Amino acid sequence: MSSSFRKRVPAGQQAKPPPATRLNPHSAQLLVSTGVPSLDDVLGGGLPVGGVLLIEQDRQTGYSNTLLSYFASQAIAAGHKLCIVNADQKVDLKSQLPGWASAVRDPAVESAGAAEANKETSKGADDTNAMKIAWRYKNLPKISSGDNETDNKTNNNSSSLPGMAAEVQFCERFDLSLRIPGDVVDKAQPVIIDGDAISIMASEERYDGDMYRCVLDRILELVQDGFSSLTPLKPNIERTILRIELRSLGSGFWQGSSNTSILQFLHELRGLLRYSYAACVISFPVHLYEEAGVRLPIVRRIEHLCDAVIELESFEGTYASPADIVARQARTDEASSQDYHGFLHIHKLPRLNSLTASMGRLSLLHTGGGSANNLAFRLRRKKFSIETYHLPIEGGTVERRVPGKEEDKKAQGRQSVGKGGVGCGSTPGRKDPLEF
Amino acid sequence: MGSYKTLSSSLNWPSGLGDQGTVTLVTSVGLGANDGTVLIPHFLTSAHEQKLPAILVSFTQTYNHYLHIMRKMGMAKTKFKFVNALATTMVGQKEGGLESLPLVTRPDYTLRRGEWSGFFQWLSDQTTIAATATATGAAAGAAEVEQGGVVLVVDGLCSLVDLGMDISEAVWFMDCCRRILGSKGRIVVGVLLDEFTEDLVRELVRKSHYYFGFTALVSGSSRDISGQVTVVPGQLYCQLQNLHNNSGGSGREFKPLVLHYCVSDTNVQFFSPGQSHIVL
Repeated sequence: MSSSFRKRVPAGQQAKPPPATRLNPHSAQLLVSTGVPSLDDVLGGGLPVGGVLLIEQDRQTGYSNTLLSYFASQAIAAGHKLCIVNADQKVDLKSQLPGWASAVRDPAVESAGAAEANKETSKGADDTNAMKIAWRYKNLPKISSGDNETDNKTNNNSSSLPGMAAEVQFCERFDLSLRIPGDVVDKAQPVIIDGDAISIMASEERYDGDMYRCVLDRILELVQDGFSSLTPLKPNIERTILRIELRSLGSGFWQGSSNTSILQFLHELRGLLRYSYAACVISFPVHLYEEAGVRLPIVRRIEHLCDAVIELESFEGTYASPADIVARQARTDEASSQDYHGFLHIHKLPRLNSLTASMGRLSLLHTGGGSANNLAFRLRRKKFSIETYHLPIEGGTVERRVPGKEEDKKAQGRQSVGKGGVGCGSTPGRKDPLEF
Repeated sequence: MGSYKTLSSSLNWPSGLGDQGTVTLVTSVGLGANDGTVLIPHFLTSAHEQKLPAILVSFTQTYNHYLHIMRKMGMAKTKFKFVNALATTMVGQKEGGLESLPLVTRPDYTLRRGEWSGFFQWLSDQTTIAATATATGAAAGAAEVEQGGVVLVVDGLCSLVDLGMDISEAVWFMDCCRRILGSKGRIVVGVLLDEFTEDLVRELVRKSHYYFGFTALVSGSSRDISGQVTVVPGQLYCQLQNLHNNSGGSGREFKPLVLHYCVSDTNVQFFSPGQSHIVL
């Protein structure tokens, strides 16, 4: 039986966790959300701070980019610092990041609801004066019968970004059909290091064209700027998280000084992140590291150097030709009606501060150990989700549908004219041999 | 919880450790729970129980990681020195880097790539301190002090290959450590075995006395069993046997064996194949 009594600890002694984080009870590890609740569930509650998640990209489709955009949107929603590194192409966040589904975060809705929030606050104050609450219940939060949006409106805490809900949630709800407002993205001041910038940095004499080394140094500078656990915080500054996205690491655009530059980079990145309040997500084009369908040995080394490894295997990318993929994407109705879009394979789970992965105990989707559930992902119009894969009904739902009476009559009419009608030896669709 | 009693008795290792002057190679395959790092708490705790100084050199994890694991397993009192070989990039340099960490989680030494001489000197000092302490204990009549040297556990030696070093350099690193520890010390090396590190493992097998191979279950995955470990004598074991025979000692016989194991957060259980329903 849990007690409502709490030991009073002076505010100065309480270590306040960064916003939008939570603690894993099994490993005492701080977790951040990836932006996709089902992916958080698969990982055992979230991505560990100080850890690296490797996403092995799907071939010829862009589902892994959707995961990365969720991660970036969650960073902006939570007020975390965001750093995106993409050697392949320019990054345009304003057109990529899904907007939040909650109406509270929408500035237009929030300004209209501000008056309503004030009314509710004053009403609440009057209620408090009218009621005499027992002392032990006074400090407990009031449970509202309304929805969560109402609770967020009445919270008076301030946030650093305008238009953001006062209370920062661990995982925000996103809508793929919406986009984060451009001014919100600008205010978040994400650090973007894209193809041209990396090439220019790598051309310096000290790097000698090694892009991995120059990106690592840039990440080191960011970490030292208030995200290192070895550096005490300046007064009146709240600790926050640095989220790093490395898109298509190891693709043809990445140049290193040797074949093992990527391994060295990942090893040093891991050492850097372990002593920092940072989490990293890397997308890796694994299909570029295959020969005759067999993965090169370096892929296994890369997987060993990351804390969590998942693979997206899209049905289209694996089994369809590029022409089919393009044609199918043009037909949005068919794409959205498809049950699943691919499999999600879990190759490795984070085991920081623990011998075992906590996912097996905490996950609803995956039982852990020997994988009892197959996981598949689905990209709907508004959201991306990971679910347990179930085989569709045999024969499909259309064929099993019971035809209506009108359809029956039409079918019978077609059968009676010029073709086998209803008779003893009649067969539907065939001429009745007994008919004269 | 103490050391892994079942494993020790199966191996005929009363102290939980191999003989003095030996090298134990532990290899792991795969990304999951079939990982040889489950033996690290065992070796460190066994050394502590035998009052031997233990040093853990890690290329893969931080000090905090091992402390948390050992605390959950009830081995929080185990004392050992930690050498950080992972976080070598200078973070927080102005504030003293890793020196600013609390004493409990601060590494005793940071091994940087290429700076071997400093590490070897430090290791040599630790060995000298251990030898002095042993001599003092023996002089004071402490019978339970084993006249042994340092137990050195290296986790993730294959990371040297990741860092671009040649295999010969990684093997040379182990040879130097072995020479420094002398005939009294023990070395345990953990390596991840895959196509990339196959040559390194082959070289190390030639220089080891005991070999632990952690793999997945041959019969397939299981909910209760995390994997299996195959223990065989290394190529240098025959030299050890000859030593025992020549010295006229009883010579504890070391038999190859296969064990299954189950890993949980607080315990690692080893058992003979087919006995899981009795043990678990």
